[in-house]
Amino acid sequence: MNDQIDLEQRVSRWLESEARGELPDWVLDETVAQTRSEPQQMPFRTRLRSLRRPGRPSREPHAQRGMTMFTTMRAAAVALLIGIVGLGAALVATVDRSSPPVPAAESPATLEPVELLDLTFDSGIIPEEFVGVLFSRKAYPTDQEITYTDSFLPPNTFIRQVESGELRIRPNDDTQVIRAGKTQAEAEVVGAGEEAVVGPGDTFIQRDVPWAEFGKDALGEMWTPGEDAVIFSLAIREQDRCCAMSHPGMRSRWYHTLTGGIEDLAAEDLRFVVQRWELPVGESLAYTTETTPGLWAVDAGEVVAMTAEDAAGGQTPFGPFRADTAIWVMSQEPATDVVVDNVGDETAILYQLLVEPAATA
Amino acid sequence: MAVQSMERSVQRDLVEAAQRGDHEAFEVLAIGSADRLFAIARLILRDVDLAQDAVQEALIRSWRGLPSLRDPERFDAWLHRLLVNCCTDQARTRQRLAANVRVIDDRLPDPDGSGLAADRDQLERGFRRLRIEQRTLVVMRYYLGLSLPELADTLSLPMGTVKSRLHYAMETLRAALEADLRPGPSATEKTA
Repeated sequence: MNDQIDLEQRVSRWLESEARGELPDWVLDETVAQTRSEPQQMPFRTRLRSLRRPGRPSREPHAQRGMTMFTTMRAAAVALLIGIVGLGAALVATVDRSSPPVPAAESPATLEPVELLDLTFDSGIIPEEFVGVLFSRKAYPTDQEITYTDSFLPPNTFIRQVESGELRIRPNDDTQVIRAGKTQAEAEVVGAGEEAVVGPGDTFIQRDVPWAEFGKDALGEMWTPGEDAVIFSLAIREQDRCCAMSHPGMRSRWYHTLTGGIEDLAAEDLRFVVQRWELPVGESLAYTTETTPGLWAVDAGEVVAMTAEDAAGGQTPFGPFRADTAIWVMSQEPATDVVVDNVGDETAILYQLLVEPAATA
Repeated sequence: MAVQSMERSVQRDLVEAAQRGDHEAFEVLAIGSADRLFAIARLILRDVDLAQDAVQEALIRSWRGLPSLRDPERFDAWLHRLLVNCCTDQARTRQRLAANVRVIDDRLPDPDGSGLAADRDQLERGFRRLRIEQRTLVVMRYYLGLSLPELADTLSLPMGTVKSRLHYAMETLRAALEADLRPGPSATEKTA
């Protein structure tokens, strides 16, 4: 017995001595920042009750279109919100790119997106054990070397575009660089070990990232040479290769994963599009959906979303989705009219990611 | 006791506020728990980076799942369980990583002459032989000081499983301590 007590005491003392150290501030900061952009999981009915807003203006013009889609849409929305619980973040959204957004009645035809990225890849870019496309927007301070920890496992393909500032890169493998204003066919190649500077509007693509060879350093060396840089990225990931996304120096705005059937798209080529929308206070976006997967991330402001049928019937919108706190996406039947309202007191900024068969573009 | 009661009351209020979506309340809870969670994760995983990720993931899961926590009084136990799950996930990740180089801190004193320094290397070696679920039980029993029923409750394990896992874990550590002492620790140690 004494022997057992002695062992327990020695183990306990050893554990106490080993349990030193504090969680680094940057980890806690990143964690708190990420939870700000993560919705909490709630029972659907509870969520609806909390969002009910009587007296919303009706939207007859939309209601006249596609009333028959109401039931289907509601079911899809329920399934979708259940899906959020599993995926930890996302509603899955779709927008018909062949039908440009139609301004809502309250919103004169001034709303056009800024197209940030439009790339086409063969469908082999989607790995067999695909889990999703991580869509993120991050900021890096001046003179920051961008490093990753041992638990970082790079994605299969990493597509990044510099929104502002500059990034100096020295990749470990051939990297495509598409300069601002150039097309994908005009891409430069930065070879392994070569150095390049990428600036606003430049996109660089690391495909078949050599993670097995280089581990956490597979993306090569990167740093901000002179000023703060803001970058958005699409990381195409594989099962069992997900990892911590935060890393020293990163100031994350948000990141969310788009799944929603990309791997099921029957196409030889896939098109990835990123657009940026600015929605002034009180304005609405209205458009008709298709069935290709898409995702919206709210970068600033506060919006709600609903189908036209919901709006006309005084039903509850989904949301509100706030800056740094939300992303909304909806998986819908085709030809459903959807309205997004800015219900905040500042211009709402939304980033939209769409993935679709290239043939339909 | 009165202070503890007040702290519990404050924590309960914070948990309830966070359940209603009050992010500032959640931040207070997260800050208050972070170092403790990190210590537990480091002990279980024996890796600083993985421990950071496990804590981060546990806190994120806690924010998402708080509305589903029925009894705010059980927040700590619930958070520990989330952390243990995240440590298990991270341990699986670790198996896919290359060798891990651990620096042994030779400067740690042995202030009370308890023989801790002599035990350290043997316990470390024995602990690394344990499966992740055994490590978890050892840490929660002998670091957090949870009772056997509390362990069973926190980890949702039958009492018999808790006892048997803990028994085999402690026997492994005993064997490590009783093994022939080898020369003092080297500056680095490679582990798979």
